[in-house]
Amino acid sequence: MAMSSSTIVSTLPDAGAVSVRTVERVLREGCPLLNVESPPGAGKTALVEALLVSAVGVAGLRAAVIAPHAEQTYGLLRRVVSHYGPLPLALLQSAQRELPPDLLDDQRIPRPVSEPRRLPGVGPLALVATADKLLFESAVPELGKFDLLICDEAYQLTYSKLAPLLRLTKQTVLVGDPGQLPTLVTIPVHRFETAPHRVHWAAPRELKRCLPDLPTERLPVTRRLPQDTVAFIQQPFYPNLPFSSAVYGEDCRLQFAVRGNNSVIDRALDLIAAGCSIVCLLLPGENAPAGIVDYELSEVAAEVIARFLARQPIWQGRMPLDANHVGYADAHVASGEQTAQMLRSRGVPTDKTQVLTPEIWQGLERPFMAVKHPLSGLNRLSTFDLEPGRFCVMLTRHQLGCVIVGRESIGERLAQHQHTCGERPFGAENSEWAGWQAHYVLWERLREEARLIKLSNTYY
Amino acid sequence: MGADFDLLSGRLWSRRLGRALPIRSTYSVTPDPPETFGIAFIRVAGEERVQAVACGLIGTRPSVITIYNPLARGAHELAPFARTLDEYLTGYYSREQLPRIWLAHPAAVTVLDLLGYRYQSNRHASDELRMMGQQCRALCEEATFPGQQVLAVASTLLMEHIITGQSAVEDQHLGALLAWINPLKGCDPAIESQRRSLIPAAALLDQARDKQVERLRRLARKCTSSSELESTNSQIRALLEEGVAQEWSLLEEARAAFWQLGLAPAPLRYTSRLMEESRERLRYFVSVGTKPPSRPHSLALRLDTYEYMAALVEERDACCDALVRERMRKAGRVIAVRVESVEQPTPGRNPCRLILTTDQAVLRVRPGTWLKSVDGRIQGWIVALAEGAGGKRRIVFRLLKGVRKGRPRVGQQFDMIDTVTFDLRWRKRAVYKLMRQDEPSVVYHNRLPQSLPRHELPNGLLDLAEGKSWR
Repeated sequence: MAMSSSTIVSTLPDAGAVSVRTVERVLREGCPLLNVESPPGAGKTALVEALLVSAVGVAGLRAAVIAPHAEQTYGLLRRVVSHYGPLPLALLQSAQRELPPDLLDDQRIPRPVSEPRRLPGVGPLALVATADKLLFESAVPELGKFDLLICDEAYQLTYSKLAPLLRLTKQTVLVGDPGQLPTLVTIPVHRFETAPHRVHWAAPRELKRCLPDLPTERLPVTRRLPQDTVAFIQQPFYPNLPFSSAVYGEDCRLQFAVRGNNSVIDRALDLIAAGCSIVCLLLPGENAPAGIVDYELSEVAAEVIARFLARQPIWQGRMPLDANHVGYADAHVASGEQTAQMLRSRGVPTDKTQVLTPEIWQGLERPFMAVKHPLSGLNRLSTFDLEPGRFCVMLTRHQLGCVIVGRESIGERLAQHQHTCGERPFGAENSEWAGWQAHYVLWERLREEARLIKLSNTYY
Repeated sequence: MGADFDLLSGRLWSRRLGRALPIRSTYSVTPDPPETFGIAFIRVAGEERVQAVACGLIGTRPSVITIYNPLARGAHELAPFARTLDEYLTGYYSREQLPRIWLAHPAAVTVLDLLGYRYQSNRHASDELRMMGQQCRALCEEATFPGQQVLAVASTLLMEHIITGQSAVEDQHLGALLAWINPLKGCDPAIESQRRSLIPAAALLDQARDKQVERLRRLARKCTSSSELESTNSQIRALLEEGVAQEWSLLEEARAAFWQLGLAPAPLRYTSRLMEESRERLRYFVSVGTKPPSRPHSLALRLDTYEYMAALVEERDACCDALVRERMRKAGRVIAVRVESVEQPTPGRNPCRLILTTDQAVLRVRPGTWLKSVDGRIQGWIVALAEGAGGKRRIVFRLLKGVRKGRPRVGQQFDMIDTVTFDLRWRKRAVYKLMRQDEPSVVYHNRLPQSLPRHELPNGLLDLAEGKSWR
C-alpha cells in the first residue's frame, strides 16, 4: 500500500539549502567546476535560473547558459523573463531558426543574434544558446570569454560537445538528471568505449570518471513525484542519488466523480486513487504477438486512459482533470501509433492526450500517465531494451499516478535472461548488466508490493 | 508491422521460393574498378597466424604463398604478398584513383588486421613487411568507416543486399549463403546450405587437410635428410595450396554472385562524396599511420566523422534505394506528404511556409526536425505538428531551400526524408584546434583549475537574486 509521505516530507533535507550552497560555492568560493545532480522534477531549471540571475544580476558576471535543444533554451528564456526583472539577456541562435510565436510577441525577449560579433562586448551578460550553436561559434574570437558557463540538462550532452567549451570559461556548472536516457550517438560506439576519453558519454558522467573528486551537489527532493513512486524508482534508477518526495500526501490525491464498474482496469485506477501511484496491468504472456506492436496491449492502454477520463478524475484541492492531463509513453513509435489509433477510436483526442516516445517525454510531466513496459512481448532482451534510462523517463513523468501495461512473461524473461558479457569491449562499462539489474529490482519490488495485476484476455 | 516482422516474413518467403531475395534495389558499393584485388588467407586454427595467402587481381591466377612453419618468428615468406599488395595500392595512389580489395568474410579482415599490427612497426621486419603492415592496418582502419568504398567483404555485402530462407546466424557462413543465391537445380537450398556449412569458410583448412598438415609438420621436425624435408614440405605446400585455392574460389564466386544480383548502381551524386572521403582517408592512413585516436580532440573528431559518414550512407539509401526507403517509411522516417497551402508573403522570397498533410500512421518527426524531398530540391524544418481532420497529420514546414524555383505547388505530393546531412567538420576542426592549443586542464590533465573566490560579493546572493523576482 502507499507510503505516508507527510512524515517523510517533515524529515527532508532542506532543498533550498542546496540551492543556496550551490550559488555560494559557484559565485563566492569560485568553484571551477560543479556538477549538480538532480532527480526528476527537482527544480533543475529553477536552480539554473536562480544561479544565472545571481551571477549576472547580482555579481555582474558574463555568463552563458547552454542546453542541448533549442526548445529547452526557449523554456529557460520564458521562465527567466516571467520570473525575474530585466536582465542583460542575449539569445544566440541560427539565422534560419525562428522563435516560437509567443517569444516573438514578448517584448522582454531579446531578438536572437546569429553571430557573436552582434553580442554586447563588455559588461554583464546572460547569453542563452544551444550547446551546438555555442560550440560552432566558439572559434570566433568576438565571442570572447565567459566568467561562468551553466549547462542545463547536462546528461543529454556528449562530452565531445562540452569539452571544447571549457576553454571559454573560468567556471562551469553542470546541472542534470543522471537517470535519464543516454546521449544520442548514431553510430556503434564500441571503439570509443575503451578510449582514454569517452567523448560519446554524457559530459557529467565522463567528468566524474576522469575526476573522481569532482565537486558535486545533489538535489535531495522531487517536487513532481509522490513518495510512493520514489520508493519504487530511487533504488533501481538512482542508486547513487538518494532523494525523497517534497509532495505532501494530500497534494497528490486523485478522486473519481464516477464510481468504478469493478472491472480490473477500474480496480487499478481505484488503487491509484488510494495512493498507490504505480500499478502494473499484465496480460497473459502466452501467445503474445512477436514484434514491437502488440494490439492487445495497445487496447489495454487505450482502455485504461479512456476509463480514467470517463470516470471524471479530479486532482483533489486543485482541478478536474481532462485529456490534456493524461499522457502515454511507448518506447516504439509504431507501437505508440497503434495505441493512438485505439485512443481516437474511443473518443480520446490524441492532440490533447499525447502519445510520445520517452525521448520526447523527457522534461515533460502530466498528472496521469500510462506507459507500455519496454520489455513487453520480447523473447530476447537486448541492450537497447534493457536501457534503464528509457524506462526511468517513462516512470517519472506523472504527478499523481502511472499505469504500466505489459505482459506477464516479463518477469520470466528477466529471470531467464542470459547476460552476454563477452560482447562488450574489454574495459568497457557493462550497461546491459546495469539495465538488467534496474529492471529486475523494479519488477521484484512491484511484485512484492502486490502492484502486478493480472488481466485475462477478456478483461472488459 | 515492425521491421522484425518484415525480416521474418522475408525469410519465410525466401524459403518458400527456394532462393535469396533482394532487400535493396541499389548496390551499397560503387562498381569495381577495372583492376580489383583479392586476398584469401588460410590461418592456423586458434593461432591467427597466416599459413597461406592467395592474392592478386580478381579474374587472373592469384599468387600463392605458403608458410611451412607459421609459428616461427621469421616472416620472409610474406615478402611476395607485401610486394603484390604494394604494387596494386601504389598504382592506384599514383593515378589518384580508389583501389578496391575484396575479402571473403570478416575472418579474413581479422587476419589482415593482425598482419598489420604485427608488422607495421616491427623493427625486426624488413621495410617491405613494415610497409605491408602499414597498408594492412590502413585498409582495416578504413573498413571501420560507414560507407567506405575500399574494402569489400563479400559475406557482409551479400547479407546487406539479400535475405535468405535460413537464419541470420546461418547466413554468416559464406558457402551456406551462396547456396541460396545460386541454388543448384533440383536441390533444396536449405539442404545444400547445410551440406556446405560443414566445410569451413573462415580462412581455415578443412579438418582432414588440417590434420594432415599438422602430422606433416611434426614429421618435418624429425627429418634428418634435406631430400626427406623437401618432400614433406612439398606435401604441406600442396595441401595449403589446395586450401587457399578453395578460399580464393569462394571469394571469386561470392564477388560474381554479388554483381550478378543485378541491382542498380547508386547515382554518382550520392556516392562521389563517399569515394572521395575513402580515398583521402586511405592516403592519410598509409602515409601517416593508423595510430588510434587517444586525445580528446582527435577522438571527438573521429566521432564526428563516423557520424557524418553514417548520415551520408543513410541519405544515399533513403534517396536512391526504393526498398530501403519503404523500410524507412514504415519506421516513420520517410513521409509521404501533400501540399495543402503555401504561405509566402513575397513570391520567391523568404519567409516561406508550407502546410503539408499526411495520412501516414507512423511518423518519427517532431518540431525542429529537418526534412528534405527525395530529389533534394526542397529542404527545411518542421515548425509545428498537429492532428488534422480524418486522422491526417498537419505539418507546418518552414521552407529554407527551394523558396524560388523548386517551391512545390498546392496539391503536389512527394516523399520527404529526415536524413539531411551537413558537413560541419571544418568548423569543428577549428574548434578542436583551439581546444588543443589552450589545453584546458580539466580536459587534458584530469585536474581542476584553482578556485577563484569572490569575497567582495555581498552576503545572501540567492536572496538578492530572489529580490529581483516578480514572484
